[in-house]
Amino acid sequence: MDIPFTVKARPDTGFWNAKIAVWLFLASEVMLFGGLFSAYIFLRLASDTPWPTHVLDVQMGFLNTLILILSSITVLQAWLSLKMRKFRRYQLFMAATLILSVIFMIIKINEYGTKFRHYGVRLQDGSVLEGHLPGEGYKIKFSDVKSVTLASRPNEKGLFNITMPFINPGSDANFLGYMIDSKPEFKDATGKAVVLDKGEIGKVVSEARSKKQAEIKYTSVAPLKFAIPPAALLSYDGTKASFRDGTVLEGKLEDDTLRLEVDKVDLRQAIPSGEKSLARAYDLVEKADAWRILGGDWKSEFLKLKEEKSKAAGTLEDTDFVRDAFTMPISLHHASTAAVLSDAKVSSKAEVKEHTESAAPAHEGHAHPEVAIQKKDIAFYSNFTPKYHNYYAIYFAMTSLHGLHIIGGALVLAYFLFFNGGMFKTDPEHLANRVEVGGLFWHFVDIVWMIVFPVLYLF
Amino acid sequence: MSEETTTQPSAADFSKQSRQIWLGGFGLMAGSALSFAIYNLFSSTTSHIVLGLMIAASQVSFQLFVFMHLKNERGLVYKFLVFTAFFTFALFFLTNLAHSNPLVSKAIPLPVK
Repeated sequence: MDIPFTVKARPDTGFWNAKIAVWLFLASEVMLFGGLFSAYIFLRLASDTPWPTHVLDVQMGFLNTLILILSSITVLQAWLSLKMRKFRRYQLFMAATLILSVIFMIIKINEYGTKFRHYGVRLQDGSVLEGHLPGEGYKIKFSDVKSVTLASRPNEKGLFNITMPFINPGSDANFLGYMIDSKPEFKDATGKAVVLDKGEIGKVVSEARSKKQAEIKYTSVAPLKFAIPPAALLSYDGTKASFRDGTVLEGKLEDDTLRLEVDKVDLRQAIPSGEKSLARAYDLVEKADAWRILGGDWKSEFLKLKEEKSKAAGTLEDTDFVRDAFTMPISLHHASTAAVLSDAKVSSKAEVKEHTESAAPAHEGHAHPEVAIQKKDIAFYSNFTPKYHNYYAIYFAMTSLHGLHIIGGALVLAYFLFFNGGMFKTDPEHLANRVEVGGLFWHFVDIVWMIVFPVLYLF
Repeated sequence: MSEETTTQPSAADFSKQSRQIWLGGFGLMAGSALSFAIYNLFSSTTSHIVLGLMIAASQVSFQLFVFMHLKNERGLVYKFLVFTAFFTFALFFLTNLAHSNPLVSKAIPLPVK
């Protein structure tokens, strides 16, 4: 039986099936993205910390806007070609649409990568240092580790008293991956030599669980060294590191300083909320922890900029003025800063590296000073992901959802291109209708981006 | 609702429509270029917000009316927009009301034990 109204419109609605369906779907999509834009407005208006503005790569965002608009043109041209029964032309424009969608996604993925690699460190007084982690990133280093205790936890029963198979709570073998320049050779409680690996650990933890034994202690044959990412640890002190899976290492904390190639200092959060006096705010930020870490020469550079900025009549209520006055890029290629640096190298012994993988393209290829930040000075640190600020939470939510729509739309259009070719011979108008509804969805995705671009990138 | 037709356009209509699509697309690109230029020319965030949103609204309208063929449904679209505007203002009004809650501001503090 043929499905009615796939080509001709229903007399009562004036639409054929797929068209009314896609408009109903788009109505729900409007509500979804409308909710997200409303969330953005409320988060921004009610934010109790300075809202990050001008933090995305505007040039690439603009390029992506042009790419999406161009893809809207090509999908319309593809539909028009079908209407004119020009199949070859249709194929070319549809292929162009798909290529443009792939380019859009590549640029987006690259942008996400730069945010994942860019970090912000908030110090105890609220001042923030932004930059990149050099080398292998931030690691907590333990040396002289002589004891490892594996944890065994009971496999608790869940809903309807069912024990989940393949779930083995307790120690896993991940900690072995953080070992450096050493071999995992141990002695167990009986003095028997054991080489720990994933299989061995799984076996002993499982045996301990069946014996209701909470922990299994090992002594290393030779002192071990570990470099552990902080996210893997539940806690640590001068002699002990506890992993999230319950494994405990006993040794000596060697180094937990965070090294950062600083590309920006942001002092806005060092000003107490409700402060009205600009002079008092400047007095406060002159004593900021950031200068102790960066070195006095960068502070002198900031004070020079302050002289320039103070010529503009700004107030602490003016967010643009505060952003310009209390943030400073830290780049050694800046003419006056370069001069300052030669002294800074001597006075503050700041290690300087040429930094070529900067997240912000404006800084690309620039050199940034590398500083060491003690753990006690850090109030919070994170890469530029949802954890860092509400702005990044809503940015990732909106752009990833938009990206999923691009992928979904591209898959549907690709299906029309690669698997619906036969329909052109049997029912070309039906194929044209399919491409039209696919195109309507594509235009909607373009509309969302037209709002996302100014809202997230330009404002 | 507009009547959907399945009639084929003539070759002249086709090339005219194709040209219009290209022109419309370039118009949309020009709008984005204008937003980008405003971002680079003005340092004030407020100007970016006002001008950028005005341009984005024009681009969206153009895309809806021309590319998504809603030109003949303007009346219906505007009716929906009136309702949307009403609900948006209501949402903001209610939130504002919550911020200026007279009961909370006049509440008598509890004695400290």
